[in-house]
Amino acid sequence: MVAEPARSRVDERAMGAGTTVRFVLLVVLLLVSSATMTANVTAWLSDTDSVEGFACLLATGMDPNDAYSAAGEASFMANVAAYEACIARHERPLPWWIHLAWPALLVVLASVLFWCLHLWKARRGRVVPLTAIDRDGEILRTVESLAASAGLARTPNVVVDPAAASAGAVVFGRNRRPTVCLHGGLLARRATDPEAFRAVLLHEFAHIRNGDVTLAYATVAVWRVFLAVVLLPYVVWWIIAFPGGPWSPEWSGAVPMATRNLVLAVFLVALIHLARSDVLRSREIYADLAAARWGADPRPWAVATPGPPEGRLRRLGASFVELWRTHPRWDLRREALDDPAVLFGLRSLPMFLTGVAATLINSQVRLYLSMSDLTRPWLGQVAAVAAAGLVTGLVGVALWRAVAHAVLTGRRVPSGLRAGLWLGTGMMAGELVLNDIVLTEWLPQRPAILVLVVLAGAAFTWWVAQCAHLWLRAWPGRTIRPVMLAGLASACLVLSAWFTWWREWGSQYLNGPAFDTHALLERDYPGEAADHPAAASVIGIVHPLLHSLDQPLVLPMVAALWAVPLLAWTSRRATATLRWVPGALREPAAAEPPVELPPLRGMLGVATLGGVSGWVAVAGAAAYMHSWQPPRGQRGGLYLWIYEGWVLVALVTAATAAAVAASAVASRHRLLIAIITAELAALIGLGGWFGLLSVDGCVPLLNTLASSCQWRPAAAWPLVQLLAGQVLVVAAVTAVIAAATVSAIRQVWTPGGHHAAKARPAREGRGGLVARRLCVGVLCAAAVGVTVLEEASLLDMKRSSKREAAANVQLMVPVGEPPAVSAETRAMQVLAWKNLGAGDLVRRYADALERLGTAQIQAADAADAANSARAEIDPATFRPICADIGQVARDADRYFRVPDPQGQVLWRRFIEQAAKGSQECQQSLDQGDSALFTASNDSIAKASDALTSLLDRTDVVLRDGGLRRP
Amino acid sequence: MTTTEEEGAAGRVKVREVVRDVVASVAPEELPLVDGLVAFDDATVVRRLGTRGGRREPLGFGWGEVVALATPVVWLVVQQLADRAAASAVDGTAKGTRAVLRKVFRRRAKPAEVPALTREQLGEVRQRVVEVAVQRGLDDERATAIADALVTRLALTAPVTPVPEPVSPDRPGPGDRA
Repeated sequence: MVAEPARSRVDERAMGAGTTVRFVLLVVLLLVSSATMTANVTAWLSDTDSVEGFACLLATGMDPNDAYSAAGEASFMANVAAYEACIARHERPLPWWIHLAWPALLVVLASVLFWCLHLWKARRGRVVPLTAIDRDGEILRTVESLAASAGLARTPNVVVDPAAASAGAVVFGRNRRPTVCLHGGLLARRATDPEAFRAVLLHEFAHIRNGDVTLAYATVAVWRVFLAVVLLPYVVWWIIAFPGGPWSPEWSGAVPMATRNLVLAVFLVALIHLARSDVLRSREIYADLAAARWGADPRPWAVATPGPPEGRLRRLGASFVELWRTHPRWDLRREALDDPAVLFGLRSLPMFLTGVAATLINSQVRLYLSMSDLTRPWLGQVAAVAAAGLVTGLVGVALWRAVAHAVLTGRRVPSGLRAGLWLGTGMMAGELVLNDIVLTEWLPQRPAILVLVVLAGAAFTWWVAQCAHLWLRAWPGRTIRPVMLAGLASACLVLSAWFTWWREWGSQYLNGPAFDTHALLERDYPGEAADHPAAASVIGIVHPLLHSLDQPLVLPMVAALWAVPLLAWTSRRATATLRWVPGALREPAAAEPPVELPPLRGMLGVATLGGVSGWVAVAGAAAYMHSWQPPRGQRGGLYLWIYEGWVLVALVTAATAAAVAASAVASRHRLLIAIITAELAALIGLGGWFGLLSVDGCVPLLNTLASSCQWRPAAAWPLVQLLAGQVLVVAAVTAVIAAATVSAIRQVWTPGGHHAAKARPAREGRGGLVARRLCVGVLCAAAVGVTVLEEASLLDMKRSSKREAAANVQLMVPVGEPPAVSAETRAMQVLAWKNLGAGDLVRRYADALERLGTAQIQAADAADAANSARAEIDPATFRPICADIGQVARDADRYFRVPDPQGQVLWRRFIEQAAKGSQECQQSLDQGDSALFTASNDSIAKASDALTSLLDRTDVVLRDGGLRRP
Repeated sequence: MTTTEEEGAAGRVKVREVVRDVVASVAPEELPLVDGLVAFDDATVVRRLGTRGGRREPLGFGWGEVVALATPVVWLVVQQLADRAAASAVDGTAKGTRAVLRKVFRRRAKPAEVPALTREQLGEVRQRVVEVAVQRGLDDERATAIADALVTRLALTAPVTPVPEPVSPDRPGPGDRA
């Protein structure tokens, strides 16, 4: 490479600018926000503001000031069925279309405004037609000739604003029917400076040609309608519905919630403004470049600008003000005319804003779906894919463009890390302004976990940038669009998987370990768990995390992570300039020699070595398991769990070691090489384990599960399948960490060594290419095959274990006492518990009791009348009463636990005694056993005593909390 | 200026005609602007010319700078003269009512006319033009040239003998009931 080659000038049209996606993101954000913001207002207006919903939550024992505490969560999980029944019974959800009505209204009004904006701007009294001033038709002729130079199919409508003293022009309307308005100042300047007149017109025509008009004014229309129809009612709602004052019991919990609601509104305003200005600024530069291309004189761009202000603070202030402007600084515009590098740079602000928007869209779509009662698992995935698609459309395109520009101009290829950190920071900031990860507190209990979001953003952009770089070095096509699209599609998949995982599982770790399967293990394998307490605890914590990776999008993501870059090795080694390069340059400089991809053979060698070591490590794990192999028939349970755990550790460690080795050797594409190597090593290791399991029982020292030697692939496969997905995902994650660590170390040790990649002479025979393609083909087929098999088993498992999982969820969450709260809150909880159904249950029980008493008196009277010593018990009279008591007991069991520990003890006793009494009664009637009938009466009496004590207890709680007079 | 003789004879001339003549002599490149402004009624012209400063609209070229133009200066000063004269001639309430009715029926006001001015008054007008021109960013030389051109044009309509009650361009004079 020449030390400082003449920089080639890139044609800014060679790659999509991603402008449409940026506008679409803004509009989608506004629509989604309007849906959720107005849902609050609608619920409040229609008086279904979830008073009962809140009461149902209170009855679970939730503390309104600490909703996401571990104790609160546990208490909620213990009552989850009762809560759902409570919501179904008491809450009157609004019809789903109500929630759609407001966004629909927004769209309709925005469309009307879009049309009216054009009419308003071109109204009589503001502009005059060009013909009114252009008597000799000279201006029109100039306009027509310029429109022809700009390649416009027809000359736009031109009007004049004679009162505007600025020497500019503006275009409005829509792309198909634009109107250009010339300002008076421009017309006056035309005589003295015809070149400036031409430049301004060409710039406006460029906006038309670039299709900016509709998008710009549609955004304006949506934004203005959003302000009037959504934001204003929302703020009014916020002010009116704000909780009373510091004396109200829910004040301390409501303030963070309400503050975030307001911050969200402010954030949205700023976000939309900044994002819109940012995209408009880049459109201006595109228009300038097009105008210059069509022959505009560059002199009009030579506007004198004041130099940067003195002092750091002032400079900061100036650049802050700059962010809100719709036009870039003149010096930037002038520079861009010479070299449009600014259009290809990765800037922090758009990345940050996109991150925020992504979180807002993803979370609010889910919230909206849940409010509209449209909760379906696949809808969550759709929300994630939509948010990921928009982010990829912006960030991915920006990364590809930046990398392509660097490749074309011989500049340093950006790593994408900085952009990703900004993206991740934006995603994190989005989380903090939503009432999603926390509700009643300012911060989640473990805010540090939010760093994961930032790191995920960085890992994503790092991967995208490296993929772009790899493919751009290898792509044999004439234009890079197809490969860019394919790269972006896979990037979208990667990000979707992250969004789904984070929203459904990851964010739950922010408020403590959500799940612990330790209790489950202790229940299912009591003896073994006691023998291996450490293993049981580790599995208890790690298993839910690994299980959370069993998401439909996660494995395809992993496959994309390594198969997409791997495919680049199928391309022929370029011997001259790549075919897409000349088309992307306007003034081609001396062609840079193509840089070769790292050799595939080396990578495969390291991966194989890693795979084989993984296999050896698995054999070691088997040997260890063999050392304490339980007797035949007891080799399932925790033994199997521990065995699988060690296999996972062995395979992932080997894969990570391979990733470290491969990325340490590599001079570029380190992340991709690490992931490919790790995945390949993991696959080879898994294959080895499959072989080992299939001959389990044949190698004396390695026998684990089987006792006799036999070839059993069918028995081995389900076990391998169970673990394969998790091994591949964890290996991918550790590979990313490995690559990051190696890169950081290399950066410290050999600063700048990164760029010292030598261009090797490209020499390869036909046989080499075929072998390479064959090899990559086989590996990609393996990636896809494993993914398909794993996905199929995942679906199967989901179906069969859904019921089981529902039963287990309560065990996974430790059931504790309701969280300690103030007397006032406790009284509110108990009142909610009473009012939402306990009162009904008590009434039903009292009614049954009364009927029982009456029936007994009647039976006694009948016995007296018949002078019989024994009362005759008529089963037809007593059976329904006893059945009713049993039903009350069952219903009570399904109802909320009493949000007061003492009360709960009495409630439990009542349920048990009532159930016992009912059962004994019915049994005695069936068998004609009078002693049992008497016993049943005793049980029912005990139940009644427990219930009376409970009611006394609730009275005490209510009195203590000030909800009942002493 | 062939029509000037007749106008002089009639004693009154329309504001827009005076503006056109002056702009044609000092800033002919601005004639298209005058042609465009003529399409509006006087009130609209004054309102639109009165607001200053360029707006940076989205999809505009982005030149925030305002071109120093002669047309607004001339039009605003002459219109002010005409308005003062009209104000002294018509009762305020009647004028207001008429303006409202005109708005309701979307009828254009009759273009304002410039009164005949005395030599002193012409001097004051000259002073006023220079002031406004400098305020609107024109240099002194250009301001003087515009003022001279306007005074020359107005002088052509001036009466031979001074009118008894003078009308100052920036102070409404006492009622002229002619």
